[in-house]
Amino acid sequence: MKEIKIFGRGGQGAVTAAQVLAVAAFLEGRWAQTFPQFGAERRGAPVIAYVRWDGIPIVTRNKVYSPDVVMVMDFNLFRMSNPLADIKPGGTAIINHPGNGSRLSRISTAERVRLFTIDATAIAHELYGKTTIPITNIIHLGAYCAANQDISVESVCRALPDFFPRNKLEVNQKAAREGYENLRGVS
Amino acid sequence: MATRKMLTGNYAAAYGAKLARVEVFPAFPITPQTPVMEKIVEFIENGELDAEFIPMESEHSVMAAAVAAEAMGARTFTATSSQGLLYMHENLFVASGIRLPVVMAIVNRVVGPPNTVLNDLSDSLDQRDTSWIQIYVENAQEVLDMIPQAYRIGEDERVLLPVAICFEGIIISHYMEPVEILDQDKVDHFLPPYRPKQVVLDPDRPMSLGQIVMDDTYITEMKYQQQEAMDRSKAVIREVDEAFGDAFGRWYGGLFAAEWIDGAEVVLLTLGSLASTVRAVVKQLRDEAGLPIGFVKLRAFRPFPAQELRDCLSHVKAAVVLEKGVSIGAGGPVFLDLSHCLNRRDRMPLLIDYIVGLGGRDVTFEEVRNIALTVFEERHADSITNPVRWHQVRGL
Repeated sequence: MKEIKIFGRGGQGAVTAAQVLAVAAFLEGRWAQTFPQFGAERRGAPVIAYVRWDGIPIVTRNKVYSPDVVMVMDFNLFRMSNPLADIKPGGTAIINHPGNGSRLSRISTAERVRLFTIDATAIAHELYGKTTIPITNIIHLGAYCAANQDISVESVCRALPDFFPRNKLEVNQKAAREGYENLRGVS
Repeated sequence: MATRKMLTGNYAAAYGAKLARVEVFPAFPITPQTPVMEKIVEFIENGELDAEFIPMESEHSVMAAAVAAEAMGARTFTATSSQGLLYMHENLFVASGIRLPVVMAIVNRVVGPPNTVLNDLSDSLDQRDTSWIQIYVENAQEVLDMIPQAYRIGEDERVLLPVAICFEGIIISHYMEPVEILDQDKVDHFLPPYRPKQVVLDPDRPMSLGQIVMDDTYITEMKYQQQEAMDRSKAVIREVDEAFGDAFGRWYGGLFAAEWIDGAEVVLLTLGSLASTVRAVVKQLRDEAGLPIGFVKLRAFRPFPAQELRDCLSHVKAAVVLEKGVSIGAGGPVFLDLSHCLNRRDRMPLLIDYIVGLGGRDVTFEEVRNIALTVFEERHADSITNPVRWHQVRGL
């Protein structure tokens, strides 16, 4: 079973990202489960959403205690707590960040975490225009597909019509592909 | 064609109501129930469901409207949670007292204070004396499957009682998972249109309902009839489960589902979503450690299957209840009911109650495993001094 934890801010679409990813896994014939962590639902407030997928029906409804993959859609969330604190050893972290800068080196992670960045804010501004809170969710899903190679970006695109009106499909398909192509590894 | 879709428990309830072709839907929003209401209203708005939505000003009025609509002969559905359910309390007795088979989804949520949108079962367990049938379910699929079943149970002339389908807020209501949406033609065959014969308000055939009576008239007898109806509903719940299984290929066990009972020395009994965890623990302890442990998933809390559970559990050394609810000053409501039915002159199993998951606290596989192993060690004890155990209290 694979467990994914997505950190975002209210308005960035973390919950929708989790749901799209779960539907994509489902469309590939997996069993999937997705849920938000309940707290204060406000624009800008920290939001956490989860996905589980597996080849067999998922029995547990427990919290995710040790995620295989952590996605952080706003780098400033590191100021509040360490989103990577409970990541599984050998897990994968995908962080919205413009590069390999010095700030990134301050992130403390367990050993053997595979660290990736995606400049999702820049891509979001290009695709959706300059919004106060950059909409990075679908871009992150493309990055997920590139980093993990276990759900295809085509499946993410096939899941989109469940969540977006027809006139928003093309831009979001593009967002997934740009996320896929612009993932960067951090050594 | 039946299709499989990723749905939340709340949306599964809405699909269940649509498939049951409900005709009137009075409701008032409360977290975590609100998406049930939103989805049904969407079905009505886009023409997928031919029903009347009545947005009421409170839950008390919701149940008043549900009573009136059902009394007009309309198949009526509603949904609520927590304080909303408690605000309905008075009118729950009206629905059952007039013998109106309203169906309600109870999306379980803590009754505050302290307040939270997370779940335990304290809101619906608390409604046990309202003469509503209460069935607890484990996942979103069972939510959907039970709404049409609830109408067939409640509308049966042997029963004519309202039915609540109870599922936990957030961990069922807001978890999205694969759910098979039943084929409408098959549901239509399984659940024919509602054609009440006794209680129907009709200007051509005037009748008054819920009248004042005195002690020499029929209150005692009418309450006894409700008791008889509740007793008869046991057979109906089983029959409907069988019929549903024959039609759709999923059987849930009726009043309760018992697994690995033969030869079991200890049985773990629970209800709601916790059934998934407890079943997995019991299976692991049997498969890997060879321990003679059995499992019961209680589905019907009302009618309480007292005789049936006595038959099932009389041979075991210890029965353990894990429940997300408590009657403070006594013990868990399921434990209390189980105590009376297992009470026998000659011998009764050791009965232990674990109060778990209050306020939405996570109940993990490891915790349940530790409970099972603890009780397994105690199974030969002649008596115990602490049958009611508040399991997750910090600092104890």
